[in-house]
Amino acid sequence: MGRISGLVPSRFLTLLAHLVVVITLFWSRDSNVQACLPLTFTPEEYEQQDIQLVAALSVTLGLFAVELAGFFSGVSMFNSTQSLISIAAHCSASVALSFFIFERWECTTYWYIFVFCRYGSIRCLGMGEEGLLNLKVLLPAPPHYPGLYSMPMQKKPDPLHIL
Amino acid sequence: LPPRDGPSEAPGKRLSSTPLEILFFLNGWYYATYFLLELFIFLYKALLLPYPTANLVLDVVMLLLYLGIEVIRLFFGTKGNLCQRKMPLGFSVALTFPSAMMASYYLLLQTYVLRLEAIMNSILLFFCGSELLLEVLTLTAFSSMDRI
Repeated sequence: MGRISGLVPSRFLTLLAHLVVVITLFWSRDSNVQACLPLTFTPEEYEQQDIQLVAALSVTLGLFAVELAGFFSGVSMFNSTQSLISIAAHCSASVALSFFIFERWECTTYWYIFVFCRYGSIRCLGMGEEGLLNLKVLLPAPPHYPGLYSMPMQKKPDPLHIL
Repeated sequence: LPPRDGPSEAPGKRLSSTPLEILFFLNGWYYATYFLLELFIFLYKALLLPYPTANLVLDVVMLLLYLGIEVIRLFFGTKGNLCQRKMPLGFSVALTFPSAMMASYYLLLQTYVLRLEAIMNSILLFFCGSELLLEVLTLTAFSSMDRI
């Protein structure tokens, strides 16, 4: 157990790659904002779409801070499942966001990428930090991000009354 | 066993800095990625942008020198930190300044700077800065050990 596996540097590098792509997107969001608007647009419409994209990117950067803190504090270093899921989520997010920039996808696509990739990595972060306290993971969503996806904790519907 | 002189003579007194070791480890991997990425970026720029040949040769040769400096700096840094010796760690501090200068050159003074290069070099500067800070703190910890 004294050997550092290859998962830690991979996780760090994919995390950084995702961060670099997000910063590049922040820097060059002009063509993406123009893709969201109709062919002729007023500056106010441009401002509106721009603010929406900036808000999405700021939320992403905030979550990056949380994830980097979790990575550097080392609470999840020995949990290989979480590392693998984190690597997969960030890798797919980097590729998808690179396509987003180069192919000038439309703005709402960003939310799909965000939900798909962020959910996996945030869930892993929840696993890592609770694993430190030896608790089983009970929540499907971490408690400090309730508004991002509406998945309330309720019982599954049971039409045949099996349960 | 005869007692060894130097800061490591008290058994069980661990003064090596774990955050510094983490930073060196991650910096090594990050620099490897950066070097490969820069090689590809230079290939891309040479094919796409109008480059005077002398500038291109200068940039690529400086990149190879940067590789040498960085490898030596990280190696001496980890060895100095883990063996609790001041000389290698001091040498690593001295090499941090040329390393930071090279990163600033690639960030600011290059012939053509891409946005991707700007971000990658700023992350390198961040690594250099935090390592310098932690190295200085670790050196003071080692020196205080000597005076006991």
